[in-house]
Amino acid sequence: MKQLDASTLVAYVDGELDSESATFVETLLAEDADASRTLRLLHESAFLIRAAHNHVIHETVPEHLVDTVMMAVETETRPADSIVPQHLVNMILDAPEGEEIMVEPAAGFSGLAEAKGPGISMARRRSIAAMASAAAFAAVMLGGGFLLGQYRINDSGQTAGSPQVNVVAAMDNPWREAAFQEALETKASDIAVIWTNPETGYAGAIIPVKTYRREDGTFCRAFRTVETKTGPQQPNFGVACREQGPQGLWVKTVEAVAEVGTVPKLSF
Amino acid sequence: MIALLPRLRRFARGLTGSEEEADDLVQAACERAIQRIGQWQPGTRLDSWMFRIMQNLWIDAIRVGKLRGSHLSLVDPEGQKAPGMDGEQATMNRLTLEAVRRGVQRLPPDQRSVLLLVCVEGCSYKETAETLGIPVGTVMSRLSRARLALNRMVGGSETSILAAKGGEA
Repeated sequence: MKQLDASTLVAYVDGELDSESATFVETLLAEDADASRTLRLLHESAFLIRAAHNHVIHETVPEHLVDTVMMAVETETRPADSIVPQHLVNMILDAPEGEEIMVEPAAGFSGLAEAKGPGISMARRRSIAAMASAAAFAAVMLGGGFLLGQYRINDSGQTAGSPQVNVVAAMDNPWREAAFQEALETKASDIAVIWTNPETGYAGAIIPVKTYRREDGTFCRAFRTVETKTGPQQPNFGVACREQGPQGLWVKTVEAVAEVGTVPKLSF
Repeated sequence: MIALLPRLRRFARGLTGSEEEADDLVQAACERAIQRIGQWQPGTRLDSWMFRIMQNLWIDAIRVGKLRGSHLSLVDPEGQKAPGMDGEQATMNRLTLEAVRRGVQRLPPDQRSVLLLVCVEGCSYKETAETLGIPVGTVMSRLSRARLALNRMVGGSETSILAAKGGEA
């Protein structure tokens, strides 16, 4: 190892050298048996170091850690049934094929009005949320009739489709996206906006669960999603932030699969 | 953040060498991250940011003596056998991996975190440097010292290394 210093050799093993340096190292290696042996050991130890630590990735994450992420910002205890109201889920599941579930659009209530303070101070206020909750549930109707919020769906639906994605799944995107924007813009935490696509028969709900404001003033909201047709690895939890400006759209910044007992598991 | 938990636990386990301390560290890091979510820039990597928080918490804990900085639990969670491997070879592999873990725990904390980020988390040198807030040159020197030290610690018996490699499931 007279001509090759250890850092260079390690960087070579890790693929961090440009092609010129790598070629130079290979030339030297051809003449240096000691360095070649070190190189082989480095390759093997890199493999072993990873193998020795990798089993952790396959372990089940302790529930208290998931809860920490989900609940750490809560300053109050959340009733167990308030995250996804079971009767909303049932309503989606029970809706006949092609039937519309209608949710009144804004109801004059803005979830954002609650958010205040720096950092991640909690926005939810139970009494307001409970009142708005009752109003929203009363407005949910099953069956035919006119759709109060339809203009919103058509408005934002046109941009949501994407030609590359699965055609059937993409058919739900305008409905999903319209509900997503509506829920985050106008609903208090724990108030669901339900969407149904009469053409595919699929339905889902978007439920904001927390609101906070970043230090730059941007509003962000954590949300959950429930859908009647979903794979096990589909994201059911995320965080979206509102773009600046009066027409700001909500843009997802984080999406994840939350393995927590409070999310109803739907199997189809 | 929830999707990151398995990787955060892996990194923490490598740092502390103990399941209990690792999960305490993950929990503390998540709490810190949630408190300071406003400091995270959307569009940058959340994992790097979380690793950095965790590394800082860990170093702080070592400094104030909450953690010993190096130990291994006696019970090895790596008990499983790879399919088609005889008992002797499985034992050999387990012992080799145990030796590697112990070797990693003997490294100085600074070298250990660089090693874990590059070799286990698959970060580039540049990403590692940014995560830890150190120059790339420092990453390279710490990494090469760590790797050569590990080579000396576990590389003495090459046969066991090759046996473990052959047994990769």
